[in-house]
Amino acid sequence: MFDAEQWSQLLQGFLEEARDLLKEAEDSLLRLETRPDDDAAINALFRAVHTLKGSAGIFSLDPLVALAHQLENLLMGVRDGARVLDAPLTSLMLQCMDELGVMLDSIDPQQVSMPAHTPRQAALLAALQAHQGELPASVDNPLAAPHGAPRLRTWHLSIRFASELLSNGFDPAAFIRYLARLGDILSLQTLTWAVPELDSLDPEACYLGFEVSLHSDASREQLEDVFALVQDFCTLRLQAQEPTDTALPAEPRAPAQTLAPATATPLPSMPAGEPRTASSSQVKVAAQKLDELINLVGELVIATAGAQMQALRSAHAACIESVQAVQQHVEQIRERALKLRMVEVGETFNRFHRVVRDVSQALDKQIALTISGGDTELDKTLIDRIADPLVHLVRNAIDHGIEAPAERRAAGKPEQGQLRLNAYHDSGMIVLEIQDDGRGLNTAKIREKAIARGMLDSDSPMSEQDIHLLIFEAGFSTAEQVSNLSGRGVGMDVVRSAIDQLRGVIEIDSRAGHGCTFRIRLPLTLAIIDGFLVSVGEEHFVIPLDMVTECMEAPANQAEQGHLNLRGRPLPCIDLQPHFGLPRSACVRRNIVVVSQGRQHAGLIVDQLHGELQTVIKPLGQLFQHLSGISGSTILGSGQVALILDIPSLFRQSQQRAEGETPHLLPSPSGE
Amino acid sequence: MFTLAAATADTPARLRLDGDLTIYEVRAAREQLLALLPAQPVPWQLDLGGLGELDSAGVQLLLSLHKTLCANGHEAEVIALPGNARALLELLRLPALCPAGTPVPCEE
Repeated sequence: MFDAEQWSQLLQGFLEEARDLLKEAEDSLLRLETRPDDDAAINALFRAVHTLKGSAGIFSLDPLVALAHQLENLLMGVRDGARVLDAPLTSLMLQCMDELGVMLDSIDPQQVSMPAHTPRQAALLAALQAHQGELPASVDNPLAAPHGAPRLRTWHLSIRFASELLSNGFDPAAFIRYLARLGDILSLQTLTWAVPELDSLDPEACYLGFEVSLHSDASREQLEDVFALVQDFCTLRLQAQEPTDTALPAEPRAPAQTLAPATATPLPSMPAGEPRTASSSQVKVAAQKLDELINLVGELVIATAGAQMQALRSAHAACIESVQAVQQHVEQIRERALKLRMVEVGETFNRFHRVVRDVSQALDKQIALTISGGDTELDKTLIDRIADPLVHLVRNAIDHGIEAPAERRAAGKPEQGQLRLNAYHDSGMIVLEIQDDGRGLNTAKIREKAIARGMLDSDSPMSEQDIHLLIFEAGFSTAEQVSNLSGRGVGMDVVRSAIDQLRGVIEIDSRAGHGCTFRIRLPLTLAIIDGFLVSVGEEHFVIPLDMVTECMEAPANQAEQGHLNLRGRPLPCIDLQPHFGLPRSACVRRNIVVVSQGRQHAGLIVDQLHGELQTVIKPLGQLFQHLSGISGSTILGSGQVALILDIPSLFRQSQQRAEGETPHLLPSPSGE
Repeated sequence: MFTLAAATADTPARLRLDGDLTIYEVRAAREQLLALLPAQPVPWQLDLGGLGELDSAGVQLLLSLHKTLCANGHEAEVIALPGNARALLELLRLPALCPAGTPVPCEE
């Protein structure tokens, strides 16, 4: 039917789908742990495992099918209320899902085969079966009856087909015929109200639905299996009537005419109210293709800037006008192209449910994770690269931040610790917050340790915030007991360097005894920014526009002292000319660009202001990586190179320089 | 596939269908029917005696035709129905499309 290559392609598709399904299953399982009554979650979980099993069966991946099958059996009990999803069962299921993930990774797409059972899988299967055996055979619960004893019941089926059913080669009548073979159809109503008149009829779309009452000894699973083939094109609600006494089969009970949606069980493949059409309107594109597109758009932006410059030089009115029109469109294309790469941060956040669960169990702490701002969008590359640092910070907050239950009780706090993940946009940056209500950072201890390690002079005056930032220095760990989770003295400096590489900054907001907030600020994208072009002598610099708050003429003498009186507040100033060791220019009138980041403000003294400019960031080559204060370069329309200023690192430099001088030279916190 | 015999003073318009009416035919069938729809309300007879294979798509088209005729005030009646088609319509409990002694009153 298929040649080897086609099989391999199909299998690739399956592997991708299966990983998504596993992730969905895991998310749902973790959601269930906090909200056991979440019907949507249990259905999503069941559906994911069911679909995984079905698809794996197509490829005869038997070990995978076996494990998924056992998992599904257990889940069925949970869904039907015969089994409670308690912590040990959840843990077991999570282990199974991990194992399923390992199995997926072990599949060789070329061979369409997978290694046979391993002892680990056997152990999991045994554990699952042990749980299965515990199922209480309660008489009250008809669903808990042993599978071997079929019982006659009247099932009510509400079937709605999606319009694509017919064009996919399925005939709804065939399913009705098959149902008729499973039992007696007591009543059937073909729902024809949706069939439009001829002039608006799409003859190949399906408009039909059915309400069927079936007297049968088939199980719920058997009935659902009838529609398994078309699970993408149909919504099924199944409801069992009171079981009929087998002694009186001649008098079937009256079937229910309508269904209360609250009691209806959607087909696991598709819960009601989750339109399948949503998925068909999305296209999966390889990230690399997007990168290529964005690179090209970047070149286009530069080329347009060049064209505009030539047009202005030629002073040809019509030419200038057309170039401007082109530029407007290029700008729109740039914006749209960048949006393509934007993904919601929620998916990354959701994986922390698992991290929090595992870590808090390992440490025997009770922790509730709250996530907000999951719909905040961020560049995909950024998300991928920030995920690991986030994991580290979360682990750290659980390990070091949140106290053990006993300690919390003693401090008058609820035993359950709170961990919050939050994301939001703030002045062109995305902010990610990891907030705990634990003990906060121990400033004195950090200071002591820093002095002991020679990072700090014992008499150097340092603000509490600066001391906190020392935990990001290499080789710093304050945990009294080094656990295997965090506190190995590596990590926090890695977190810092990862964030630095993304042109981001991290702030710590800690209150002793009340908790600690790590706040990461990241640029929205790595590829293109709106910049503000300035020049010092012959050199051009680009400042990220989002950071520019105002521009003004530099007062003749004030700025020389390194700070300036800005409307009654001291504003630290950095003169770029001596800072970068540039030759003194003949420029008489100099300007100040006030930049801000978070609560810090500073003035950059430059010669000339040239205005806004779309800038494609070209990363600095290896040779220039060590340069601080510069985050990249760009090519101007004239072909000249302009350096992009790295404002956070300039801030840090100015802070370091100001150390030992009067405290108000630090970039000043804005007046709140 | 459809042939229409115009109404006379004492006989209603009669539409005869010959051949299959399945997912493969419905698109063409709908085009043809749209062209044949009468402008004036007249009683209609639908002669399905020559119907070959029928599937759900075909059933849908017939339902749509029935609905269209009803909405325009025509009376519509099915006369003659081969066994296999009848079996399907009975399975789906769609008496409106089965031949009856009297024209089936329009629903709704």
